[in-house]
Amino acid sequence: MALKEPMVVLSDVHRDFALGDHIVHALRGVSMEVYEGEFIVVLGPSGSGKTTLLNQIGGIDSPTKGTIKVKGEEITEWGTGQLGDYRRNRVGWIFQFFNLIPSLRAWENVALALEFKGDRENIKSRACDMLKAVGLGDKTDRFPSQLSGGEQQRVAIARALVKNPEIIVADEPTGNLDFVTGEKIADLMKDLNEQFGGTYLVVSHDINITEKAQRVFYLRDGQIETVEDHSK
Amino acid sequence: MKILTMKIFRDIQFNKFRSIMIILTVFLALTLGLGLINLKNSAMVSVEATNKQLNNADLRIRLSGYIPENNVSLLLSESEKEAAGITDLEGRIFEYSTVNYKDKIHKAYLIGINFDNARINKLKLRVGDDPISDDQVLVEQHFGNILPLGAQAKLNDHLSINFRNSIVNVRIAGFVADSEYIFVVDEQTNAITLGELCIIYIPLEILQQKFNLTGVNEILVKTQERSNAANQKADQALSSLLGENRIQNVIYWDESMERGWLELRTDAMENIGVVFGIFALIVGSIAIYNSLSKLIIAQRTHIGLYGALGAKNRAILVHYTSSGLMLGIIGIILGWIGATLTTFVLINVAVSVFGLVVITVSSNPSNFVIITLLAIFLILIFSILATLPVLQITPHEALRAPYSTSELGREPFLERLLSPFRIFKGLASKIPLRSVFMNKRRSLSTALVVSASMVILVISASLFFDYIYALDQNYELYEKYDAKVILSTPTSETEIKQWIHQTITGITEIEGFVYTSVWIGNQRVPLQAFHQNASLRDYNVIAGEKLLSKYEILIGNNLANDLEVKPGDQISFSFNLQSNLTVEVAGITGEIAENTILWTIEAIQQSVSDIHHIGIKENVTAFAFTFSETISNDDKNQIKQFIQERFNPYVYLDSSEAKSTILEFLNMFMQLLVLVALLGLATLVLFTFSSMSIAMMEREMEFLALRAMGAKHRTILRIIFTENLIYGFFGFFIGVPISFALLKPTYEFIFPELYLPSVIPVELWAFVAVIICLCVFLATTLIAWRTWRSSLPDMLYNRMAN
Ligand SMILES: Nc1ncnc2c1ncn2[C@@H]1O[C@H](COP(=O)(O)OP(=O)(O)OP(=O)(O)O)[C@@H](O)[C@H]1O
Ligand SMILES: [Mg+2]
Repeated sequence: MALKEPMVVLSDVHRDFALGDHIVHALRGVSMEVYEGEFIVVLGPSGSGKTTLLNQIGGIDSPTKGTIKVKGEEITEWGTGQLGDYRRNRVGWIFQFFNLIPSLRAWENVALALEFKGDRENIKSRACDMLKAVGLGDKTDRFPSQLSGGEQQRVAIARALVKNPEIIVADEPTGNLDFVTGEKIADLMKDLNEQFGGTYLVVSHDINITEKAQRVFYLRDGQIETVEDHSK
Repeated sequence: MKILTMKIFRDIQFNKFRSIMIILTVFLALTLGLGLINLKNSAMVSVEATNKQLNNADLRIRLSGYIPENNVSLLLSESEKEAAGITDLEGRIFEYSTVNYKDKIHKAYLIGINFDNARINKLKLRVGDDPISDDQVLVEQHFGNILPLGAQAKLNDHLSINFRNSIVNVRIAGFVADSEYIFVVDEQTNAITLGELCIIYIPLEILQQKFNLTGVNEILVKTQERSNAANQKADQALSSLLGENRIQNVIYWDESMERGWLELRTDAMENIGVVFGIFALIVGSIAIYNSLSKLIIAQRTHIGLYGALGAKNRAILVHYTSSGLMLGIIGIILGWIGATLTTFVLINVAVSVFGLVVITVSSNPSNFVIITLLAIFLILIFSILATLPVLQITPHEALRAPYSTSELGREPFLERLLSPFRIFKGLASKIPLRSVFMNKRRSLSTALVVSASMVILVISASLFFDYIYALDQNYELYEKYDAKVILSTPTSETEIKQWIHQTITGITEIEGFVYTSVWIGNQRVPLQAFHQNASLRDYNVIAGEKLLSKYEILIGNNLANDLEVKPGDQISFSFNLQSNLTVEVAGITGEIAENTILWTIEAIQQSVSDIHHIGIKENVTAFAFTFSETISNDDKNQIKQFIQERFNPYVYLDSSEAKSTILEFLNMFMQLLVLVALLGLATLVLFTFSSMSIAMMEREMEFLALRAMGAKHRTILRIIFTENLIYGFFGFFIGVPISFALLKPTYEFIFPELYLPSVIPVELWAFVAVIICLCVFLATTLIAWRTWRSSLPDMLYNRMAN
């Protein structure tokens, strides 16, 4: 794996936020490489910049300084429109808060991602297949409010994965769940990673997830402190 | 301060838009309601204050001859005055005459007073200066161009006074206000003569010189108390002194009549205030309900948290209710200011026609208290109603998921109906339909705000249109003649026709009719009778049938209400209090002549046995005619002059002039209605816009999710737009039947004495629809702007922080 070209390359990424009259340096010079198909976990104390880092890679935010390349394309040069395309077509986002659309059924929430991508063929059966894969084959017709927290999170995962994204970005996907459900989700993500490929970048303190990571990045004060490689 | 109390302020601060909208809502409702209701009281108080400032006489004693000026003050000793309840006496000259102004003859009063030291009936110079030379006079302001109606004379214009066979030319030095002529009612006919009657004030000595008069012929009296009893007492004391034969007539300043006259006019304004004020308050309450209930949906998690932390449901209820109430009270306080301003503007518009010297805004304390309490009550009730669902939120449920389970339905029927259409195929296009239809209660409150505020606009604008429409109809369809002449002595119709055909060109059709009054019990009621086959007069029968025969009459709807008769009933009346006639009411008319009995000349001649007494066996008491289409205004004036010279009529009324006079007199009313309609428009725009915006703000989280998924701007914009459009659409269609249902009762409440057709012009619907679309557009733009202006990472960050 180390022989392959890296898929995502961050060089000296800085992100500053103006908070009132002082500036918060959320990221101060992060450089890292992520390879295709990797399952990476980002750890670090609260406020260390984990979410900010994911936002940069997932096309939600742009760095104040530094560059990010995805498959050789410099996404840091893109405007909001192009970043939107990028999120729509190439990134699967999973948030801590499930962010489903309340008026759409489970399968519709999943299929919406396909619709946005402009990939409209058989969207219902593909969405249902994906829900089956996350273990919700019998609940495809439910509305978000009719699902438990763990089930909702699984819909969110299905929604992120259904479009076969190059990168899956997850910010504390099990943060709101109980241990057992968290474990199931972690297993699921790992399974899907093995089954469908895709590169995973996950922020999580959940032992279920960290033990499955190939590499773990430790962030502290906006900088990468250490990298643990579990794959070796 | 308790933390929860502090949170109320925080919520207000963090939800600026929502808070401002609630405040504005209450503000607008109060401004409109209280502002209009205060109008009547302010008008009355202003008249009163004007009278007081100008020290208006309580009693005027017109003598049959002239007495030396000095005698007036010597008439009574101080103690006699005291005994008679008289505080002051002053002599002046008062004479009837005519003036010629710009080739038109006007009735005129000549008044001779001492300008400088007049104590009673003081004049207030409005424009121009006091006379400095003998040929200069002051003229009462209604005749001048400083007030909207009438002759519109200008400063320095010439007048020729025609008095006792001599003609004197004078110039106008200034226009004055005279408290006695605020309404300018002709003393002889009791008709309102706003601006047509020329009241001329000349320094006493100059008037005496000009017309060779010595002394004064009128005594102005101020009494201690302002009451009719005091007037009578003073009158008796002076009469016995002057001797009955020296008194020509005594005019009491009859406050009750003046008041009644003004009250009648301002009553309608007050009614408008009551109706629209209450409408506005209700709409405002619904808007508050809507906005608060959305706040609660948005804060479900907070509420769950309070519960989880052990807060009592009651405390949470009080918490949210008080946030509504607090905003409401700020709105009320601002509303008081707004109402005062509204009244100020309105009263200036509304009473400008009277030229009051003092204009004050004053609130009837009871109105003020009632409206304020009503506002607080409504705000409280609707706040509680909006907050009640809080009790159903269990911490478990609220914290479990950010989605409400309280309401869940099936996919709306509309979705299946629309699904064959290409633009409704996508999943994104289902979002707006479902958000609206699967949360019926929530959506209904948004749509209701739109409907209710729309009703205000529709009714106020219709009122405006229907008022003009009624006038137009009246002169186009019913009173089809161009002019009518009411004669002072009955004259033969053939004679009239012959004379006109021989002497006047430019008149196409003439019809004689009877215009007189009859007695019903001891009430005098006008009666109008055209020929059976009259072509110049038709009737707008709104109930019963249009039948006019020996046994059947029509009756104006106002009179019908007064007498409590309906078609088919019998009524009895008499021409001379002796022999009663009994006829059936065939129908009820809704026209301007609402207090009139309508019959035909033929029927009268067949039914009335002692017809000779009233002189209408072969005579008519009035005639109506039409001008040829090409006639010029000069010719019309000429005709008027001819007819006046020949018949010396009681009234000569040109329909177009009558219409424009009514219109102009109603001008103040119209302006009021326009103002109400404008406020209605503001209400519609504000409430629709805000309710839509608030409905969307609640869903910011959802749009955030869509954005994070990479949804295109276009997609989100379409979702917001469609959803707003649905609210607008339903608001509109709920509003239509409500408007229709409320229109007639509203009219009847506002103008109980007036028949108005309840028509809502089609254009108005179109206009309202356009305005609603505009609001949809505005609200969409605002939300879209808010969504795009905010940076995605910031939003997500804040979301997490929440
Ligand atoms: N949009 C923003 N505006 C202002 N400051 C921000 C913003 N996003 C992040 N920050 C600040 O940047 C720093 C890093 O935040 P970030 O959310 O990346 O931390 P984190 O590692 O994800 O923390 P946690 O584990 O608590 O989620 C923090 O100090 C935070 O307050
Ligand atoms: Mg974070």
